[in-house]
Amino acid sequence: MIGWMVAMEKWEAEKLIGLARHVSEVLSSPTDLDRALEATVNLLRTVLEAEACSIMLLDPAAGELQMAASSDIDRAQWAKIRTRLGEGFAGKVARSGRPLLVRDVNDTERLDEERRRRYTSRSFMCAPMKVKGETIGVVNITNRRGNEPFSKEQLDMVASLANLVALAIENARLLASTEAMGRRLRDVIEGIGDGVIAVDTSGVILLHNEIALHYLGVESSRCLGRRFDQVVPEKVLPVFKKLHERTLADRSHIHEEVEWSNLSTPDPVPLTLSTTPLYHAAQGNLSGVVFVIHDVTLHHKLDELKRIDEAKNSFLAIVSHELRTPLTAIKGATHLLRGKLAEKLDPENVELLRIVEQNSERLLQQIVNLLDVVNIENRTASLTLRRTALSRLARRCVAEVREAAAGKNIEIVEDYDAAPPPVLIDEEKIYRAIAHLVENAVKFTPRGGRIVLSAGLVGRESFVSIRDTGTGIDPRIRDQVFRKFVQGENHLTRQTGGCGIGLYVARAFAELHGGRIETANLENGGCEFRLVLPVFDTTEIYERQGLDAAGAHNVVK
Amino acid sequence: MANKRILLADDEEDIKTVISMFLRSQGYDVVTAFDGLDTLEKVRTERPDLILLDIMMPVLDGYEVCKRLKEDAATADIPILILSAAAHIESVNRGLRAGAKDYIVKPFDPEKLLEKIEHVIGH
Repeated sequence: MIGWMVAMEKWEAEKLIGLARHVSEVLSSPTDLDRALEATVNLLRTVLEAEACSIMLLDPAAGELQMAASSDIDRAQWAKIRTRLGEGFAGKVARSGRPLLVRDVNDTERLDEERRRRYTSRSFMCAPMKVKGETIGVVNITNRRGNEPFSKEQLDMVASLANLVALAIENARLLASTEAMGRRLRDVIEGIGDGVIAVDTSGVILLHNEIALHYLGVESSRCLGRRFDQVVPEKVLPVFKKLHERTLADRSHIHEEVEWSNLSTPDPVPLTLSTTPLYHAAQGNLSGVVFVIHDVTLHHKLDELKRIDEAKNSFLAIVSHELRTPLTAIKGATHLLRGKLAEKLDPENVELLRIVEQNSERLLQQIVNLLDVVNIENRTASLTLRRTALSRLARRCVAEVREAAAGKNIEIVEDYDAAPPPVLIDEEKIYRAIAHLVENAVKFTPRGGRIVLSAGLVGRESFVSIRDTGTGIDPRIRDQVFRKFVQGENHLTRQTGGCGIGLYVARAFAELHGGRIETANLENGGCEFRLVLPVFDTTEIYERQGLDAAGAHNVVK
Repeated sequence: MANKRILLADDEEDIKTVISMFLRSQGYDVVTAFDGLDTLEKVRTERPDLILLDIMMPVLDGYEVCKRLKEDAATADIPILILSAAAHIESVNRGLRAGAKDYIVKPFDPEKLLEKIEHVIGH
């Protein structure tokens, strides 16, 4: 500021110094930046005997200067006054970073036509506001009263003052941003599900959140600034002290399980207490310890559930063994008996033995079904893949039910495609899936009815279809029939759904292969169940790529 | 005196075979039915002295059959014994409320069944 003070002639030095001091005061004291800027422009206008003064701030993203304070323009109009960087006097000053003095506006060649119209400007000063060399805005002073143009000395002074303003603005921004960050940090700390307490090396509490106080059973009001041994309850103070010491001594993170009951909750809560050493950002030496209190109730519950689950699985394995063993004995013994006594028994007794043998088999099937359900639910079902034609499995299923069907006078018709495509499937599982469908068909077809089985290929899907002349399925409960048997009175009628676990298992097995089971009601009143499996055959893929099954590359084209 | 006639209603063939054989060996005359509707039909044509009725049957279940038989004056007096595979007491109570005289839960000891039958209609 010294240079122009020495050079000035017309301007009174005291007035200027006074102005500078005044501006400094205005800018440094209030936190309301807007008011401070307003006061500044009015002050400048008065002292410089100008008609108008304004401050514009640069929006770097938009590349525009926006009005931030004005001695004469109404705030409502500010939005209309946006000057692009490089345009007009203000824009040019903002871009160049150099103050501008226009003694007579009419002299300047490059003048915005609109500005000439809008402002009856004559003399004009514009100074950049800079912080650390970067322009953040401009100060505009318009029209000296008395028609005398502004002087170079005045421009220099305004330029200096402009930087004061810039600093004030920058400080205000920093303060606001720090406050915002502080609020965010608070929100984050409150929002963490765990309790957080930060203390310094002597144990004074620097920071905490509500949850921490909840776990400690402490009132929130007076914790900050007090030492933690005055705040933390007797019961848990020892472990806090111990961890505080060790963390500072070892400079390491420590984790400990504690269990305490506090005033907030009557039941003891399993908690873990973890510590992390706190360092001064710049200096790198220890400044304190952060305690994190974590509720591990859910962890414990999870562990317990895992134990129960494992126990259940081994229980089922044991039960299955215990059921199958006696059944094996029964089946074996009866089979032998039938052989030995074949000639000696009268038909009635032969029949009785057959009943024993057959129902043992049924029992065994039920156990197998139940285990299937368990495997499906626990996702432990695995696939052993082999190439088989679905029609072959269907034929086996039909053979199994022929007797039962004959007993109800049900006709079974088999109509399979002549050259069925082999599919890669787990034979055992798909056999059972088809068997469930066929058994259901027999169960729900009345005497004298008809069941038609077909198998073939449609597009890239292989299917087995079972059509019966039983009752159809109410479309509203179509999905229910695939659910596991839900205890109900009419579980045997298709009308109410819930056909035991056969359909549940059949569908699960189909889906394991990437297939599905479709159902449809037929016109004649019966029902069709279709097992559909994708044909995923690696040979096909090889052939398409000109490789033979062994993987050797045959270049065909 | 003619043998007492028992109508055995169950959709399971093997169960019918075994129980019929057993009851016949005990001197009863046994006729069978395979579902609810057939049961109602057979009651009319065979005029049994006792009905052994399985609860879980297709088309018309045991309770329905029970109700209808009790509602019809011509058949209301025929005692009904329910065969139930259901594990819980509620279904049994339902049967008794529907008018059955007694119940037996599967799987049962044939001797037990005999006891209950004799209690209701004598030998």
